[in-house]
Amino acid sequence: MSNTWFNRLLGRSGPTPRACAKERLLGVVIEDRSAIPASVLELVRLEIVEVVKKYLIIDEQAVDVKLEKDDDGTYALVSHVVSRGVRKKEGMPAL
Amino acid sequence: MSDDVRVIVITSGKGGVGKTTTTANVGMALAAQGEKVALMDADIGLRNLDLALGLENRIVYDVIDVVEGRARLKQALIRDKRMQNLAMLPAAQTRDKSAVSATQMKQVVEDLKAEGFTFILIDCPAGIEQGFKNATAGATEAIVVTNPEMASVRDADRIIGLLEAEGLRDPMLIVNRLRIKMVESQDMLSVGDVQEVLGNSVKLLGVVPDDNTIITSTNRGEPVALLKESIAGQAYRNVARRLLGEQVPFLDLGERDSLFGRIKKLFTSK
Ligand SMILES: Nc1ncnc2c1ncn2[C@@H]1O[C@H](COP(=O)(O)OP(=O)(O)O)[C@@H](O)[C@H]1O
Ligand SMILES: [Mg+2]
Repeated sequence: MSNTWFNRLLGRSGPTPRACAKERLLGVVIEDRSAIPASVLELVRLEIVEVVKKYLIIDEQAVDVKLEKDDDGTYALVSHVVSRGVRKKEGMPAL
Repeated sequence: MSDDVRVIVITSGKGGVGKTTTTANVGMALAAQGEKVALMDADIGLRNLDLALGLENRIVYDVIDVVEGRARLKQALIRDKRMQNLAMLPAAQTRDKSAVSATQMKQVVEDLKAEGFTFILIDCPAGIEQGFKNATAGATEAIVVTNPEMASVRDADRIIGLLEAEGLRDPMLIVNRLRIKMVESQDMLSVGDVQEVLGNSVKLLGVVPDDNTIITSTNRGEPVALLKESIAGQAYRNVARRLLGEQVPFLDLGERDSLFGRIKKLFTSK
């Protein structure tokens, strides 16, 4: 038990319960409000993976899709893709 | 004159977060400030406000008796003996939420206004169905009570959306049962975190600590707002003063954090 505190101090045990709660809440609340279910976002994510990997070398788990609220109250679909480089020409579909 | 009457519904979505406790204590504290206060229990079928106020033995008629014409409003209202300018209108215990309509509840509020009260607080049932619609029907302002806990904050967000749909914009927020030690050890959401999730349309009205004296005083039928030395009581008295337009600094219950949160937002927003 007392170890958790010490581990946290050293940044070993990942996000704190408080940070987890806030992060998860921000996620569900935006989903509740936009009425776009997480399952739909996951389908969008999978298709983005399919498209992007034709051109770029990516780690499929490193593609993330989420909703963010803009300042004007509308929702933005934001995707974050980490790429490790461009695919070799021969791997690409005909341009 | 009756247009000056403040009609405030106390909601949360989730049950057990402290709506009834808040209604009883804010009502007491407003009455102690000299306001003429009526508390209406809109939780038809699950009467509780009488217990929080220690008035359960004095009930003769309830709101359904009034709506169905068996009693006049004056007969059903119970005057508090400790606080002369506080009165409670009990919910029916043996009926259910479908026994009244929103229009009827609205009429009861109108009749309460005509009795010369300056504040009418409505204790809303949990949920988002008919009971919620009935309780909000006559209100012109709303207080959302939440605990610094996931399900409660999520439901609060949902309720804020539904209140907006009912024309009750920019509700006031009370964060109840805060445990500052847990916030400091990074184990619990802070007031600032809750505000960040709920967005800036909600205005922070109060922060009430998790406090055993709430349980003991509710058991005695004496709202903590009456206890001078109680910190939770102080928090409720501060809520009452803020409702009356006073600028009252927040108790040191993680408010530092919320201030810090706001400053941080200033720097991080574009
Ligand atoms: N700040 C608090 N500290 C400790 N106990 C509390 C606090 N607020 C409410 N409670 C307790 O939590 C329970 C639920 O509160 P209640 O006001 O009945 O909630 P609701 O009306 O939202 O269902 C009650 O037993 C009450 O005494
Ligand atoms: Mg209740």
